[in-house]
Amino acid sequence: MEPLSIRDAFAGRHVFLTGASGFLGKVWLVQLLDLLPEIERIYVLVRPKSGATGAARLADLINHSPIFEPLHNKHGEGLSDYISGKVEVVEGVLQEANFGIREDTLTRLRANLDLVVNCAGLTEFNPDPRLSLSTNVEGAVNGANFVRSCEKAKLVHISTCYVVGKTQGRIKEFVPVTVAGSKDHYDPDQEYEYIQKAIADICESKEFSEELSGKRARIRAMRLRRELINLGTERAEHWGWPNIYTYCKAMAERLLTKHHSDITFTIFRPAIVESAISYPFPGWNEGIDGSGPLACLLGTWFRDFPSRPGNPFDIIPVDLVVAGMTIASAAILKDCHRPVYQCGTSDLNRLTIDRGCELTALEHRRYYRKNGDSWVERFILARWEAYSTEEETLFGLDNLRSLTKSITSMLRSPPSWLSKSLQDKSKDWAHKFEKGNRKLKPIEKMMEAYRPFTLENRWIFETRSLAETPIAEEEFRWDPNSFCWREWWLNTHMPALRKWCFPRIEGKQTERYSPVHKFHWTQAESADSDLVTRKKVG
Amino acid sequence: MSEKKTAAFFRVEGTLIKRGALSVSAYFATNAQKFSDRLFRLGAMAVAAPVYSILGQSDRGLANRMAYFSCRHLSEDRIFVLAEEYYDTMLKDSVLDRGLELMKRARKEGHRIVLISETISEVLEHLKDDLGSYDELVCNRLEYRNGKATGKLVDPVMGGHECGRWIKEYASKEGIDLANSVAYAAHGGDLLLLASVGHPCATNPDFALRRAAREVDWPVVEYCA
Repeated sequence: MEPLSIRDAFAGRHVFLTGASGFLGKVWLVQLLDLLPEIERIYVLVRPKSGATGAARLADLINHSPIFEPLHNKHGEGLSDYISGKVEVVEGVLQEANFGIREDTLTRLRANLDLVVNCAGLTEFNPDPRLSLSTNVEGAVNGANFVRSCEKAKLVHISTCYVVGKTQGRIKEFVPVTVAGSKDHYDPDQEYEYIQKAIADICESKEFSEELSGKRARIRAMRLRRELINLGTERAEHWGWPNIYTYCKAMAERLLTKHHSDITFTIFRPAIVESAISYPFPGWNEGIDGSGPLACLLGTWFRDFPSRPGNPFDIIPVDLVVAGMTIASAAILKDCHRPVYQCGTSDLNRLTIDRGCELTALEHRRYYRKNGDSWVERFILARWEAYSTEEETLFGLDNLRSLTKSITSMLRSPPSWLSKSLQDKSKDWAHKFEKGNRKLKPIEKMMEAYRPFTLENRWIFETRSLAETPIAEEEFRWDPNSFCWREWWLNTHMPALRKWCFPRIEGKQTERYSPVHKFHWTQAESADSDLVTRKKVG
Repeated sequence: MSEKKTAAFFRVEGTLIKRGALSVSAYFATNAQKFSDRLFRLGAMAVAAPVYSILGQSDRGLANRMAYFSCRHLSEDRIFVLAEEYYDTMLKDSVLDRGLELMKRARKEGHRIVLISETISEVLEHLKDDLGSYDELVCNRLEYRNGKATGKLVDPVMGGHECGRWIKEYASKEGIDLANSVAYAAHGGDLLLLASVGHPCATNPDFALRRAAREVDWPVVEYCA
C-alpha cells in the first residue's frame, strides 16, 4: 500500500468543523492551522451564545484558551491575518436542519466543501436525555443530511469506542447496525421513536402550571430532569450500554450506517481522551469526564477503588487522537478510508486499571510529600495509597457508610448519665458525621457511573485501521507506542490534571491565557456573523 | 610496548555513602501499596536483619539477595518512585565527602575510577550526579517480570565475593594492571575484592575487615562518623 500523504490530501481543501470549542475539536483546529497551512479554508460552526456572536466567541477562545499559545508564539502579530485568511466562522446550531446556516452561506458551502468533521458532542455520562439526543443523535443525522446536500463533501463522524456496550474482549472496527450493546436485536429507528415518545409522555405529565413560579418551578424542573435521566439510564441499561452518552452515540452510529450509505463517511472512535504528550504542549487537558474525577478521588482518604485488576484502561493522549483524526480525514479525502477507525491504546500499548490506579496513588504520594498543607497530608495522606480491588473491603464505601451511620445514631442519642455539655458535644459530632455521610453520596454515584469502565467489562479496542495506514510524513504518524505510561502519567498527565482539571471539579477557575498581541478578525467574510444580526439561538 | 592502565575500585557503600542494601530494601518494604503488605514485609525484614548482619560478614552476596527479596511483587512503577523518594530522604545527605576526595585523588594519580555498588540501579540513577566523575559504575539490578519485581537480582550480584571475581574479569577485558591498581572497601565480605589489587585500603571497616586488615597490614582509613 502506497503511503498516504497528509499534506497532499489536505492541500487546497475546504474543511468544515463542528465542535471546535470542545476539547478535541480545539486541538484538531490548532493542528490544522499549525501544521497544515496547505488547507484552503476551514469553516468553523459556532453557536452564538449569551449575546455574543459566533465570531466573537471564537475570537475569545483564540485569545484566552492556553491551547492557542503556541500559535500566538509562532505568528505573533501576524496571527490575526493568518487565521482570518484561513478560518471562516459559520454561525449555526447543531440541532437544526443544515445546522441552521443562513441560505447564502449554505449555497457557498455546498459548492466548496470537501470534508465535514462532526466533532460536536455532549460527553457527560448521564445528562438530560433530551440534550444528549439532540446533540449526539440529531446532530449526527443533521451532519449527514448536510453532507448529502453538498456537491462533493465527505463526512468524518466522531463517536466513541464505548458504543460497544456489553460486548467483551477484542472489539473489531465495524458498526453492528441491528445489534445492541447487549447483543439483542436492535432497531435504531424504533428505539429513537420509543425514547422520543417516552420523553414526550413524561414532559406532558409533568407539564408546568402557569401559576408555578420561582422555587417551586425550579423544583418541578429538577424533578422532571431526574425522571428523564432515569428513563435514559433505564433504556441504556436495557440495551446494554453503560450510560446515556454511549447509548446516544451508538444510536447515532447505527442511524448513520442504516440510512446514509449513499454519502461517503467514516466513523472515528476515540477511547478516553486525556492530556497531550507533547502537542500542542505537554499536558494540555480540558476534559473532565475522563480519568480526572477518579484521579481526584484517589488523592483523598478514599482507598479502595472498585476495579478489576488486569482490565485494560483505555486512555489515550489527545495528540494521538488528533493524529488519528487527521489520518482518517486524509484517507477519506483520498478515497482510501475504512468504515471505522478506533483510536485507543488497549490494543498496542496497554495500560491496566490497577496500574493506572497505582500510578495515580504514587503521584499523589509524591505530591503530598512535597506540597502537603499539614503534617497529616505530608506524612499520613501521602502514604494512604489507594489500590484497585474487586471485593468489598474494610475501607469500602458500603462499610464506610454503615460505620458513619451507626456512629451518627449513637452520637445523636447519647446516654442520659452524661453531663449536659458532653451531650451537646455529642450532638455536634453527630452533625459532623452526618455531613461526612452526605459527602459519600456523590462518591457512590461517581463510582456507579465508572463501574462499567473499571469493573464490569473488559474491552480491547482493535486499532488496525490506524495502525495499518502507512503515512508519508513522519510528523503525522500515529504510534501509540511512542510514549512510556509511567513517564507520561507521573510527569505529564497528573500535573496536567492538577492544573486544568481538579480546579474545575472543585468549581474553581483555571488559568486563562493572555497573548501579547490580541487576535482580531481582519477580514469581514471571516467573521460575517459580526456584521449580521441573527436571531439569538439557545 | 604501551603501559597498562590502572584502576581505583571503590565499593560505594561504606566508602562513598553510609547506607547499604538493607536500608534500601527496608524502605521499599515499608512502603508497599497495602497496609497489610507493609506490615508483612516489615515483619520479614525484622527477622532477616540480624541474619543479614551475620551473613554479611561471610557472604554479603547472599545477604543482598535475601535483602532484596523483600521487593518481590512490588511494581516497577513503585520501585521507580520509591527509589527517587529514598534518594531524596535517605541518601542525598549521606554522601561522604572524604570518600569523594579519595576519588579525586585517585583520578589525579591517573587511575580509571570504577564504582561497585550493592544498591540497585533505580536508586543509583539519582545518586550519579552526587558521586562526581567516574568511568564505570556497576551495581545490582532487580529482575522484573510483567512489570513486577520477582525479588531476584540479576547476575552478577554485587557485594561480597562476586566483586572479587568480577574485577578480575573486568581487568582482563579492559587490560587493567591489577597489581598497580587500588581498591577501597568497608566490609568483611569485600576481602576478595581488596586482595585482588596491589594496593588495597580498608575504609571505615567493619569488625571482620578491620581484623583482616590488621593481620595482612593493609592501610585503614576512617572518616565515617
